[in-house]
Amino acid sequence: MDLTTLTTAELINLQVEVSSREEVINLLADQLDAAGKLADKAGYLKAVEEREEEGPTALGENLAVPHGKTNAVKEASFAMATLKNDIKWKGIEGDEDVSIVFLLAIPDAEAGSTHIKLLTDLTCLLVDDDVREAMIAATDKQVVLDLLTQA
Amino acid sequence: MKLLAITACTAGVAHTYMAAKFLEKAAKKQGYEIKVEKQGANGIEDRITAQDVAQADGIIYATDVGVAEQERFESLPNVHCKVAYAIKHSDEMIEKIVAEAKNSDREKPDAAAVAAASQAAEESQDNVVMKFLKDWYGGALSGVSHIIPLVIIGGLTVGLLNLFFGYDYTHLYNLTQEQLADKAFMADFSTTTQGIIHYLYYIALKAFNPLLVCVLAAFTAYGMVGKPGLAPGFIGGYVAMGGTFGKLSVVSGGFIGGLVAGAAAALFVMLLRKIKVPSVLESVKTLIIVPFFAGILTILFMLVGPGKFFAFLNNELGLFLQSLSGTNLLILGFILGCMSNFDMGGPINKAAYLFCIGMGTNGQTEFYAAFTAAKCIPGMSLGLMATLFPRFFDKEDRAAGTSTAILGFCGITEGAIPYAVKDPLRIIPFQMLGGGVAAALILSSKIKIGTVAGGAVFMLPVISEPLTWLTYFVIGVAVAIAGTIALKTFWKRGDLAADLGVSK
Repeated sequence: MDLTTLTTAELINLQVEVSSREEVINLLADQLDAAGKLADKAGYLKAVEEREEEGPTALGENLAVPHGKTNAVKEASFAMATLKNDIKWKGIEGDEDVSIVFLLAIPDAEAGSTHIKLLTDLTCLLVDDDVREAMIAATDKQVVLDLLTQA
Repeated sequence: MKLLAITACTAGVAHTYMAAKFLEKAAKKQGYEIKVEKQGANGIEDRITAQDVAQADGIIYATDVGVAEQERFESLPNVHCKVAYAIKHSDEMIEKIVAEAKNSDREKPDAAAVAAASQAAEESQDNVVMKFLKDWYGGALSGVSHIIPLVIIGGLTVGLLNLFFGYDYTHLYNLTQEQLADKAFMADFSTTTQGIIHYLYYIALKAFNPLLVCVLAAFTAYGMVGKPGLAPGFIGGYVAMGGTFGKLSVVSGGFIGGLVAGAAAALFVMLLRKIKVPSVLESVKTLIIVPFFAGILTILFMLVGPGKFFAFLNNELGLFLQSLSGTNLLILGFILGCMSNFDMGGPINKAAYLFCIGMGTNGQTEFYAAFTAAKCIPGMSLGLMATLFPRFFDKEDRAAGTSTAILGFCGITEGAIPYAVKDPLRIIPFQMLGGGVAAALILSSKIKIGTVAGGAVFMLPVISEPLTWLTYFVIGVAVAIAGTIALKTFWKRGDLAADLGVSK
């Protein structure tokens, strides 16, 4: 299936320089907002923040998947960034180094809709070591888009 | 060793699925079988069944939120952790549950006990009568699915004869007693076209009567109690059909009689199974006592017992429906058409289907002719709409348009389900109305169909008045399309939510 229906080239950021978790979340949320995926950016950020409080979203293997599920989201979508310098992210056992971040925007929609299904497919895809490594190494957005298309 | 796991996180999109993947990966690496049920934003995916539980050695709960229907796994050794922990330490969690399972003294029940247990679990919900009726419904569906091939053989034979020789070919098989007794004449006759048609006709008749009702009764019983039900069911069906034993013959019970005979056979098998015998006699019981007494009791039940009442009922129902005309048939047809398209293959649709097939096997095939038109309408109309008026549909629905229309043409309603599920209030009403209108028109014109199964638009050749039928069908499709488009135009999705008081 084609996961590029959930994102666009504008929502993909390669080798960005950020210094904190908040910074990268804000950056990606701004892009989601600019792409018209959010109804209420502040509300969305609040949901993401609350999720971060609840438990770690850094999952090891340099990957973090922050997300917010709220009706402040208009359309299921995601933005991603690979980081030039690793940042510290709260993990299960203290802070972890993270170099690839996917920010998911999940609407409070009915279960089983196509978009929710695609989002779950995305998270399954990220489990694959090869895919993740190829994304971290990517210097061209097209590489990432191709990986998402072939999912 | 077979393991189970439940993954569930708050959003139900990210961690739930990743944890499932990691656990599957880790289990595979360590050489264990695992089934992971995901409780996420899509609801429960890959649901763990009672049978899975019975065969499993342990369960991992990788959950941040409560587990839905946790009572299912009460008997299993278990370990618990947060979802994120399972992602990071999937190997460790697998090792933990394996150790836990090895320490446990739980004995795996064998397959038979499992089946009994899962049945018992369902049983406890209902009293005996409800349970029996539910079983009967399940058995009836099994019975109907087994008569379909016979209906196809019999129905198509008659249908083709109609097609090539017109409806009045009775002269072909009206042989006099002298002719039948004349061996030379019969030998000649059997090699002529007329003779072959004669035999074809009788094959078709036999496929319907009594074979069809016998098979129906037998497999209704089979669906309820398994193999021991078959023989009593066949015999009961034969009696129900007025099968003669010497000079004794009874009223034909037809379709309803067959269903009753099947239920009776199953009931007697159930009761006889309850008889306790010493274990040496167990095989005698299975081999002789159960079939013998179940058979005898079923025959008696059908001949002199309540079975006779159902035979009477079947006849009366047939006569009553035959006597219906004009407005009454319009109403009945309309109701059947609406039922057909209300849930598109669900239980309401099935109830109408059973009724129409039943009437068909009694020779009143106009019911099935009407039902066929109704059930082809959702697929056809939605498929056509998605192609002709794409702006009312999303990308997915537009792409599926052609195949949905083809499915509809072939009499398969299920293609319409995705459309109905997405937007039920604006899709279903006019599919029902379209189906109702077409079925009402067809039934009231008493248009016959040559086969009482596999109804589809391409069955036109075996429909008695194909052009009229087609006209009514097209009217139905037009009603469905016009109504649905109107609803979609004047009743916007936003208004819809507001009208229903749904807050966004």
